[in-house]
Amino acid sequence: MFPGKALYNFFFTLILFSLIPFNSSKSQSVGTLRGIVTDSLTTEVLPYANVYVQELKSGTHTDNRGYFIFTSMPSKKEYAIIISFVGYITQIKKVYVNEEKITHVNVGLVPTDITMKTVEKIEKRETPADNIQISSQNILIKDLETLPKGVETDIFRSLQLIAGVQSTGDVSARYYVRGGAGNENLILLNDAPIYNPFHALGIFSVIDPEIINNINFYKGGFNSQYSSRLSSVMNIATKDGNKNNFGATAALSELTGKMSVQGPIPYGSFIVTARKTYSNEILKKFLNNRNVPIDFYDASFKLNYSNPDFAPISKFTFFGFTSKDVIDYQDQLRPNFNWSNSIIGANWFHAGDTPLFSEVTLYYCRFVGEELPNLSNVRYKQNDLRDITAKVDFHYVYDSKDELYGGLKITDIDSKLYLANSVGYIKDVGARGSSISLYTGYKLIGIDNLNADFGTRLNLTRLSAGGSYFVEPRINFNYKLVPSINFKAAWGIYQQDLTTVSDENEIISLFEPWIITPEYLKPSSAVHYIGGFDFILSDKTKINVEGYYKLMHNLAVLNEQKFKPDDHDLVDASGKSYGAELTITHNEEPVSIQLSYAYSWSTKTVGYTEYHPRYDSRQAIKFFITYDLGNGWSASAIWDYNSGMPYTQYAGYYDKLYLSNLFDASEFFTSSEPYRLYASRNAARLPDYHRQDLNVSKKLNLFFLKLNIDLNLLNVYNRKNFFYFDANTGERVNMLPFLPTINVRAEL
Amino acid sequence: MKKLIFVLFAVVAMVFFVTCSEEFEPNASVKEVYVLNCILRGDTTVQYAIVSGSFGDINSQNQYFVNGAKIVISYNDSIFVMRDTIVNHSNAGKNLVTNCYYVKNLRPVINKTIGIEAKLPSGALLRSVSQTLKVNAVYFYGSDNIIPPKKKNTDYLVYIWDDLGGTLKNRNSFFVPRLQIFYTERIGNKLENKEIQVPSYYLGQGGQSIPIYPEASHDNYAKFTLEAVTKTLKSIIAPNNDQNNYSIVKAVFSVLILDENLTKYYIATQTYLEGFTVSLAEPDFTNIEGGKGIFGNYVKFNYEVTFDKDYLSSMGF
Repeated sequence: MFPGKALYNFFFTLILFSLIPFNSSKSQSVGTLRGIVTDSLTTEVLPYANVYVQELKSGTHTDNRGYFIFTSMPSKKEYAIIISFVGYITQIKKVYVNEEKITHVNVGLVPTDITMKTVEKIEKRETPADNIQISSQNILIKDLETLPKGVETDIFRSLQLIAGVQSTGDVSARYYVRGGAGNENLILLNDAPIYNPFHALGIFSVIDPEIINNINFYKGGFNSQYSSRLSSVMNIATKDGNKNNFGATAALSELTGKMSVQGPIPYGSFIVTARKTYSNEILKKFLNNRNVPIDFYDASFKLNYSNPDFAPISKFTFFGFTSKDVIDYQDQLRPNFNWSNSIIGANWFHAGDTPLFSEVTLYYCRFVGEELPNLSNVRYKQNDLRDITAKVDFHYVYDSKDELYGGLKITDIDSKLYLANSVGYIKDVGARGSSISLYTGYKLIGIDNLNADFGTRLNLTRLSAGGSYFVEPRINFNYKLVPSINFKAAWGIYQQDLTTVSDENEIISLFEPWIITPEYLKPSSAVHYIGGFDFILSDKTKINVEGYYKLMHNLAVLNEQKFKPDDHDLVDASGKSYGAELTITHNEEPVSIQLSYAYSWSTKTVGYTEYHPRYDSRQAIKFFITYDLGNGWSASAIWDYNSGMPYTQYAGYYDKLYLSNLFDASEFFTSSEPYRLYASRNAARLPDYHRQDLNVSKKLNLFFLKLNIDLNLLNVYNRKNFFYFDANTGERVNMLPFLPTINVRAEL
Repeated sequence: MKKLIFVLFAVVAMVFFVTCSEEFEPNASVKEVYVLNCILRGDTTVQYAIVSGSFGDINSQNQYFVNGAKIVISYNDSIFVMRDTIVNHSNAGKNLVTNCYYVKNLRPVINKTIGIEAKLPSGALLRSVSQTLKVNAVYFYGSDNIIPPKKKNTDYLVYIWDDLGGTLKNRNSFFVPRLQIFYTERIGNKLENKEIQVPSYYLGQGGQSIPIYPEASHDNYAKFTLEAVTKTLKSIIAPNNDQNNYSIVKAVFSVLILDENLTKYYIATQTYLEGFTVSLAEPDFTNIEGGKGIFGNYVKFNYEVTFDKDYLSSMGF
């Protein structure tokens, strides 16, 4: 049935928002200043740079595309714009603002090694007014490079330093956010999803940090722009490539060799990166000295074209990504595995003569995962998921600084899941479906220190056939009690119509297929309630406190009561999580410190059984410190503590009757075998996990090369963190022991 | 000073945790679980049950049979009390003894409620109620009664069964089919009766021919390739043996019809891997209230099949 009423409500809201700005101001003799801030050497955009108009005593920051905008500026005047960013020389630019027009300015900041002091000079002890979003974090890749690296810089591992982000140990980069499952995290590369973002059994992410410009990470309460996952969003924006000069980098870790090339093209730029394994020796340390013959590679590219004669303030982008992992045992008696991701996409970004930003994005994603049995007794499995999406997004800034945003997304997903039975007959049990969704939102800026971002998504169809529409209203707001204290809160409903089919209790999941939530189940949904505050204690010290409560419905989990072939593979479950997080950051040149504590509680209920999921660690403490020692030397340390995660204990055996040949009457007496009994699910707790890593790095120039050498000491006090218990041998297997690693990166 | 703080942090953390490793206990105390297994067979009047308890040591040779249980089967307004006994049997060449309970003179008839209750010395009570099958007779209309089949241009033997009303298929019944060849082998001066099961077909894989036997399923038909029958017949004659020592008697197609609970149990233990499932763990089905195990029943029907003499002669019989 056509969702007429919902559609009517949606468009009514959209029109209301666009026609009646809540916070209108007089617009006599005013103009608009818009600009883009870039690195003057690499020409990469600089997101979250500070932009301050001296005369107006008003500031903002650039968005993740490097753009900033000031509306309703008294026109026919010259302004001094102060642009600053950590790691760059602050620039003061004089700009004349025209009446009733948009004045566009390009700002190229010059990088420097001595920066913090420069920034602190202009930052006020005040929380940014337009940063409404709670539970969000903007991450720059250069911030990650100073931290200790497992084997090499990895965005997922660095993410786990954020309070509320939980991992299950050294052997998996898979992360869990505020009690949500791993498949509830949306990972976007230039707005296109990566379905299986892990290399090497999940030890590393597939995204080479070399291609990344910045990351927006939301651990809850994300606004209506984002869809299709319940827990978190990681939006990765890649670099554009250098528009002025050609350049290349090469890096070598103990696992991979990689290189990148970038440079100008007419009216644009390009960047290409590639990474490949050359040795598995280091992986053995992660896998209890077991040899798993993993071979992987990944590659990315991005092309940009921006011709002002053709389309002023427009940028055409063409991007691609591919990754592949292969586990080939060279043994016909063992199964082999391979899985791959590929993305190809295009984007047109346009900023017109009005304060309107619009984007059109098309992408095609594919994930293929295979388990090839060879002559082993496992059965063939293949998951082939194809996602074709077209979407339009717009963003309009009113004179009052209020913002209206919205968009349309059309997705077609074909998820094939090939399973074989015991005689080798292969059948596709997957499905294909399309969804159309609309979203809109309104950012209300600065009414008596109150800012709000409220919006909604309307999913007109669900992916599996027969579904009805679904509305996802969401609201974020902040209230500045005093300049140094900013209260924030968020509420929202979130829907997910894709799920993975795997056992969440598996230590390492080699085959984790994605399927459209079957028609017999409702799409999963979640409700987030989040509240907290930012407290700027001093110019150097900030405190963030947040609490959350999350309800999850219709979670698709494996049906452990599937007794007949025609019983459903999945059943619905519900979930609940709540917790509190405290983060204290202190930046005092040359030291930067972050300490966080998280208390969390998470349960799932399947049928009448309630249990704690495997990633439900009650308490987590994360501490890291970076120290700029001068002369290109820097050092850092991380200490990560998680209280024990839940597990299910064994509770003896019973003799179970196995019927293989009912014609044989004696089978009743002879074919019993011990069957393991389990205690209450996940009722026991593993020993606590903690680990300290140290890093020392040195930057130096050698002839024409810029070298960066990293020495990492992982698990410096050789903590024996529990990995798994081998029930067959009775052996306790621990995670990563003390391990020194070294990385070398050269830049041309 | 700040450098000192940094170094201190590193050193202190190392000192505190260098020997830190907590113990992990994989085992909880053994859960007290009792198991009652009783499968009533429609082709006999002697029925058996086994009651056992949980245990902690998988390597122990002990039997965990529960003695002294009072087991009654209530059926058709009658009470049948089971007695304990010992059954001798052989498995993989070993003579084994199993403790069990038995009752005589009980052959379930169609569509009756039947219950079992076991009171254990520990005070535990295991109970279950089931329904006997609604099948009294099965007809094999259109099934091949001679090998090779009389139908021309066919390489298959087909067996189809249903009850008189043709409702078996619609009732989602579960069937276990089997085709056996009965033959005699002369060993010295003695004739020994033997039988061999016929696969549905042979699967060629890796240069080998793998016999694929008919699967238990909801389908009320079974197919066997003539090639499978031929290969089975040829396999009867042992290498270097005189083929005159062998004589083919007949073939018998048999089908078991399982009740709903036994069907679920059978699939859960045996065939859950056969379907197109993503399930990774074996499900543990039981219909025993207060414990584990199975209380179910099945009936068996046979259909005799003869061989064409020329066909047997062509293979040396």
